[in-house]
Amino acid sequence: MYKLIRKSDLMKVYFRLFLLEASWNYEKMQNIGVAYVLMPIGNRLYSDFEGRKAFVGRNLKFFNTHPAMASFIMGVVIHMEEQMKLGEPVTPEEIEALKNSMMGPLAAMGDNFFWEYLRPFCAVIGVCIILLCGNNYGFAFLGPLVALFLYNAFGLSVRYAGLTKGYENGPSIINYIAKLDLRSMNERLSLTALVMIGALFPFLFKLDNAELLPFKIQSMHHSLQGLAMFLLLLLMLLLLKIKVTPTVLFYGIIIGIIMLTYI
Amino acid sequence: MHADLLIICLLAALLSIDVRTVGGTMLSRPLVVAPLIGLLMGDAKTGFLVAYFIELVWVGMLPVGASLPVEVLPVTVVSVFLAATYSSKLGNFSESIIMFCIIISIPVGFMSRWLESHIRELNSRLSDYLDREVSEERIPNVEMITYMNIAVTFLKGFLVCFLPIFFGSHVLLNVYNSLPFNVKQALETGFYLVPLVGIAVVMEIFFIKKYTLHFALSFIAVFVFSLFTKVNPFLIMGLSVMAALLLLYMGRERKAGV
Repeated sequence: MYKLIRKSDLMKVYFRLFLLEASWNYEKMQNIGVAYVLMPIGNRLYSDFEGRKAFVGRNLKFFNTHPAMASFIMGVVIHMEEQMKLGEPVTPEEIEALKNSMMGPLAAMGDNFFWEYLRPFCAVIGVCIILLCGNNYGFAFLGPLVALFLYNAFGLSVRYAGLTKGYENGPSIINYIAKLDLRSMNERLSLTALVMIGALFPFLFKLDNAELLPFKIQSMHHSLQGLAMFLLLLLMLLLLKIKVTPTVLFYGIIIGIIMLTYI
Repeated sequence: MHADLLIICLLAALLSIDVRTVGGTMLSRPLVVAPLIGLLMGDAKTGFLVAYFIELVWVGMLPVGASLPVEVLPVTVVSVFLAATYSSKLGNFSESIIMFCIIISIPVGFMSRWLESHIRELNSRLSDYLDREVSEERIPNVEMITYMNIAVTFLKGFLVCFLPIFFGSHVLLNVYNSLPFNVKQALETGFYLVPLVGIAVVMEIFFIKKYTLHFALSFIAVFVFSLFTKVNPFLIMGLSVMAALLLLYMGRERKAGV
């Protein structure tokens, strides 16, 4: 560990990992990104032209995974590259095979946790705070800040842990990843989000406290409004279930209302 | 106004690097961008409203694999800028202005997505070029290509926000002014109903049958509570955060027990 690679190289890789998707392309996806991320490692391990060229060539292969979870793979790759340079029995083909076998499952995990649950969760928290702070804009700014903090607390720490743990443990990192148990985390996030939305519901459907919210419904009776909105919500849930996109729903509502005003 | 526009578009371009390049730190989400631009335009209220509208409606669209979702950053920037400008020009805050601005700026998101797919095709060529360099016994300049791509993304982010506002601002204000009264009223009603799309999207993501009871209980608790007292939103926020933390904690306990 840390025989050839220094801690500062890992930090360089850590910051470069943010640019992993900068040159995303349809053919080999994140390959340019990987080559860019691992550049400091190649420069550290190989001082000769041939070595560096081979290193870059090795990393320009097809690669695609979730940007935050990629840190695990990068850590392992750095570990194996170092081993290979030290003369251990590791071949470039093994590294390639390991990369290929890890990127699929990690992409699924990362997409599922970060994008399907964590980001909407942070968005819900942020929006709840904005709505509950009503017209007090000073406090409403807490919403975006809390969301940013929450999301990045996870994102940045997973990246860091992935890189260092991946480097220190090598291929046995799989056990560590299995222990992360993001699925139960998803459930807990769902539960928390549902409780937050549930607490928000009365504000959405019972409109006596309308001044708390930036919106209120005019004209109709209070109870009727609540009921109508609830039914509309159910209808939209149904439409979303049959894969109508939110954009279509958005325009659909507007067009529907415009048509209603002319009837 | 042009100085404002320039500064805000530069800021948007800077943030647009985060959409894909920096792997998404949520800095480029409407939730953060809209209040920021609202603040810069001196109209925080509009910023928060747009954040609330756009964030939830498109939160479920994921950049998984090769699929590109609608880019909400330019939609946010254009709609907040136009809404804030129109509100100050027309001298009053109106719900229909915000709705109108969001509606007309959604196509910008599609335009941005179209540009993005072309940038990605260009990147495929660059990838081929790099492979060729390696096979021709040269070390390719991967760093330069990465930085160039950031520059391209920056430029795209700038143009996508700048052009629609610069060329469309006056025309669209005229369009808004000449809208029939019925349509304006419909937009106003839409302003109250569109948030439901967002709530539905979020419910669709998080709703698990197992937790129906928790959801209903939290709803009923706050509902009953609000019947008897004049509700203090901070109290509700605090209570729901506490309940959420408690549930998180219980979840962990159970797992540890098993």
